Amino acid sequence: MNTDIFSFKRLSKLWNFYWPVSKKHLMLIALLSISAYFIVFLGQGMFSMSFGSWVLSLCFYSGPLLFAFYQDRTLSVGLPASVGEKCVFQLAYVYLIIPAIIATLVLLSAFITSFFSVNYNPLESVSFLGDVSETIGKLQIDISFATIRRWQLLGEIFPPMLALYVIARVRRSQLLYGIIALVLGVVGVGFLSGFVSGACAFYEGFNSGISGMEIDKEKLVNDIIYNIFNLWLPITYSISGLTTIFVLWLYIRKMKKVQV
Amino acid sequence: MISLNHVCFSYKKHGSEAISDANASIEPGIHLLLGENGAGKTTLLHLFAGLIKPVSGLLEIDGEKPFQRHPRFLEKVFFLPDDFIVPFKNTSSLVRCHSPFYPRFSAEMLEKNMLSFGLDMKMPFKDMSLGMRHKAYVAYVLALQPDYIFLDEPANGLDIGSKKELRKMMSRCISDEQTVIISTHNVFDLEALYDGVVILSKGNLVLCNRSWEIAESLKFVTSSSPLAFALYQEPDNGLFRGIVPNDTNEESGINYALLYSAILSDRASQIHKLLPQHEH
Repeated sequence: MNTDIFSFKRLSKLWNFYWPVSKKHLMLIALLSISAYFIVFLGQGMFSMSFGSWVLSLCFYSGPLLFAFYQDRTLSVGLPASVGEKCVFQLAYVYLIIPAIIATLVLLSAFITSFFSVNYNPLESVSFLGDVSETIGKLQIDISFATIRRWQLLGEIFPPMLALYVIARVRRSQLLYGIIALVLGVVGVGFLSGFVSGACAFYEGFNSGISGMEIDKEKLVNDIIYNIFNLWLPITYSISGLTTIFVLWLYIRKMKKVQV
Repeated sequence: MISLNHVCFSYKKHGSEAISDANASIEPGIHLLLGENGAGKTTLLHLFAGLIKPVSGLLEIDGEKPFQRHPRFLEKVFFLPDDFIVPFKNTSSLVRCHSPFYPRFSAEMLEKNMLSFGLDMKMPFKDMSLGMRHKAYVAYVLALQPDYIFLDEPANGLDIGSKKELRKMMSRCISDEQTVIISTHNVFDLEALYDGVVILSKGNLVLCNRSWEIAESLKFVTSSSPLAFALYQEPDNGLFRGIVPNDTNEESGINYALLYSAILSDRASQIHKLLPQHEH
């Protein structure tokens, strides 16, 4: 019998192998997720929203760091599982298990608090763009929060992917380099976002300026911002998404060829 | 069987060849891997375990290329480095999390091994001395019962009593079908167990022979005066230890340390002439 084909049984053995450390990691994630939610719920202000979002982001980004704790490559590389199984396990842990736990706990907390709160949706606030959604509402821009969130996801998946690749690549101090990769990933997406939004703003302002039309200033601002969002969102997060796919390819290639 | 055919390996960083044109066939049994510091012993073990890839040449173990790292190959192989870092609390946790990957793992054998070494499965690794951790790891690896075991300085940090226990344990646990390669500078620790010897020098595989082949062809003698017809000899505390051709077909014990010195000396060619050369 060819035991080299993809095996869910071996996948479960991988889960068992990583369990002693992942157990502690998941418990920490659970605690932080619930805490983040209640910070937002009890604070109900801009600062608490941003802080809560930031804590949830940390929880999500910390996924790859689990694998940095298994420093001895002879053990992980020599583990009798295929490259495909090892990659699927790591990716599933980072992109499925961690977000599922965060989402479940936040939803559960929201359900519990729904018995005590009226006309308040902290779920919408617990995101990177909590304050942005408020701004969008005030500016009466016709872009739904859901649309923004969908694009934003493409930005959020990049830092963990970069961290997974870096941890697979470096031989020593995987935890340190993993954290650096996460920071660089987040900062990188931020820079890209800033650069693209600046370029879009210039483009829109230039176009509006040369149109020569006399228009209502408030409407002009709203139109510019609307057009920026329509350009900035797809450009920024498409680049981020494509870069993530590229780093995923590098990661799988590295996992296949990693040498101790 | 491990088969090397013009295998070369070099580290990108250093540039120089760590293993240069190695040719050998290693059959089941317990083999001693000798070499000076930086000779390439650990590199060779890494190649066997599939942890690194040869730059050129063909390395196969039972017809499989180790670096392809197929699960069915990795189940048959285990490399225990001298600086093993285990991310588990104790031996019990190691067994629970790691042993399921190895279908031939024997809990009974592990229990017996741990008992022989006087170790407790629940004792945290962080509370163990270096020697105790080594004993626990070796006890565990032997219980995994893979077809190929590669040990890098397994007796490192072990006291005299533990080394004796290790010898007994290896005799007890290792079957005739298994291949064990032990890299060590302390040849005397497990001397009685070796079925073969592999000698590396500056990345070159200079000797790979079975012990019986060596014992049939060479005799290891000690004399109070210099040996007239020795292929190689060296003084040792007022005595002379030497290697002579075995014309009488009487087998003497192999002095691996002396053999090692002889193979690295300028008399090596004379010794090689008497030993069977294997086709690869």
